[in-house]
Amino acid sequence: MSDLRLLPLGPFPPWGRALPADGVLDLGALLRDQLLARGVLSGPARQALQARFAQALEAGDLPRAADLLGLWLDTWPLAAAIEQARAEWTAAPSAEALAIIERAAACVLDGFGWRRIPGTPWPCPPDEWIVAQTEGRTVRLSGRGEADGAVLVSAALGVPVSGEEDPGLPVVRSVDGLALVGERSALARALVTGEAAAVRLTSPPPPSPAAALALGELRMEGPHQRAYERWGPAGLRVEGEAHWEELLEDADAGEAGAVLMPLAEGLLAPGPASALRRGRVDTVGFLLWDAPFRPVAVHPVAVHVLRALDGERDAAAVAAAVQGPPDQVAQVLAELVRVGAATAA
Amino acid sequence: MSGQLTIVGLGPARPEHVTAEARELLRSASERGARAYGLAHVRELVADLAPDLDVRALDYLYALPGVDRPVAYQDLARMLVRRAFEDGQDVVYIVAGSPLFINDAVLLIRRLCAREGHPLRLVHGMSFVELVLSRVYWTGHRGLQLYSAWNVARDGQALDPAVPALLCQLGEFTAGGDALDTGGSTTLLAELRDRLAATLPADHPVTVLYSSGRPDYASLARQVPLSALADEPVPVYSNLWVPALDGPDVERDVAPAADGGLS
Repeated sequence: MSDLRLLPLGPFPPWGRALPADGVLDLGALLRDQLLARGVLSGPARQALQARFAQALEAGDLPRAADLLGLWLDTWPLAAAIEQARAEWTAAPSAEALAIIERAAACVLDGFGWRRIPGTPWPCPPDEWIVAQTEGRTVRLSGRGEADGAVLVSAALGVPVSGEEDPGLPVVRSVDGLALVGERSALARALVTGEAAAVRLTSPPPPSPAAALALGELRMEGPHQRAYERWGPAGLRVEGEAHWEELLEDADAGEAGAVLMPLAEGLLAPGPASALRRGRVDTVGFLLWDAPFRPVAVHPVAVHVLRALDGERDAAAVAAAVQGPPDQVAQVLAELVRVGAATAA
Repeated sequence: MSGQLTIVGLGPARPEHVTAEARELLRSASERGARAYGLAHVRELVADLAPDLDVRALDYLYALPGVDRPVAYQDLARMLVRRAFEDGQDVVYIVAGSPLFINDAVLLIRRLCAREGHPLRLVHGMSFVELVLSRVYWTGHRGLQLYSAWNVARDGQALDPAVPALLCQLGEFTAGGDALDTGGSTTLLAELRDRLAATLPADHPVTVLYSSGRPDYASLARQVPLSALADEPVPVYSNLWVPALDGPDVERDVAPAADGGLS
């Protein structure tokens, strides 16, 4: 086996190819492509989150259960959106793509119980995964600037970090939080003139109006500042911010008809998250799509009705199948059509 | 380091109220790549007038913890003057209405520039007063008192009941900038009602003057007896017309809309 030059996990998510040249392995790009994948989110990550959700409920940790429920349900729209987001990230990065990737990373972190690359929202795989990628090869590990996670890789493989790869990112000015107010004018000027793309606070700023105003100015003047604060160096590749919840859409209404077929999946689970946070546990139905649509909480009966749709039964047959009053089942069917969970067969 | 600072007023809201000078200023600012600053409603208007002009959002100044408005306005003034005359940028500060009417930040910028010897260009905008006065009959014979409602309700500003008064920003009930929830406006209205009741009878007619908002921005008017002033919430940028006690009868009347039938 030949020597392997190894690029670290970060800054995550990287945008190059996993094997950019002979004898080079970009560990971060490999992780990105393996992890941020439809199959992971709709398979192992979803299953792991469901299991952790159940554990949190059993342990009576309802606030944690509420968080896990949100992540678990999001694996449906995430699975539908992640491949395009990953492709967009590597070709033409956007805040929207990064927000999707961030939510997928959160599912992986909480589902698999992974640690984070320090100071970032990004996942660091277990040492076994890192070792498995380099099995039997002599490794030379390069760094890649801020938040590269090279120290974690170094510890996992027992090799030193030698040399530094240029991450190709714009300049960031660093300042101690306590010096923010005094340095404000110079920092803002650097952002305005383009000498710096963002400012990194190496310690928290004081809780003073002057510091709040200074940070406000930097965030207004620096097109990458907010993204950088939230996503680390990856944020330097995008302008502005985006939030996963705002990227989700409502499903289009279906078409009414005598015989309906399902467009969504129905799930019964303890919830909803807001009730769990208030310490209350009810059985709730959730409508989920294999599309970037917002999950919809419904009465459990709606899930039973949805599951009875097979593209052949009419409303009366569906009512008989769920042993429900025909007029009420008809109302539920109309509502399922309205929210886009069912349509004419 | 050279730089320049221009303050431009866009008028009360309707695009046709923007002066030719302001339109030209926005167009040239866009062409020369000036750094423009403004609040959300200004950015909406500029998006129609000069779509290529990137207006940086100053809305954050109203949402910073522990930063009240006077401090925010001071900071804004200092920041824009610094941006222009220390950083050498071509700065355009865009405001709604007239820059000279009830605009603390503009006042501070003007004073700062004068004190430090910086040139300042002011592009006037039509004020809200023209629209507001279209719904009443102000004779001018007894003058006019123009105050913020806040000044009267909470700062102890006394009104002369023999002179008509126009009180603006009627719905502004907090100093923290979260006054857009109109439901809270009745608190300030009640305080204002009680202050006015010290010199005016309970049945004295007062007229709430406000805009219908987008897209028509029609001038609307609602006359109530002073005692009922706090019975209904009002939009933040509402005004109150208080006719003089024993003043000309015509000043107590509500005028029909004078917008050619728009409303």
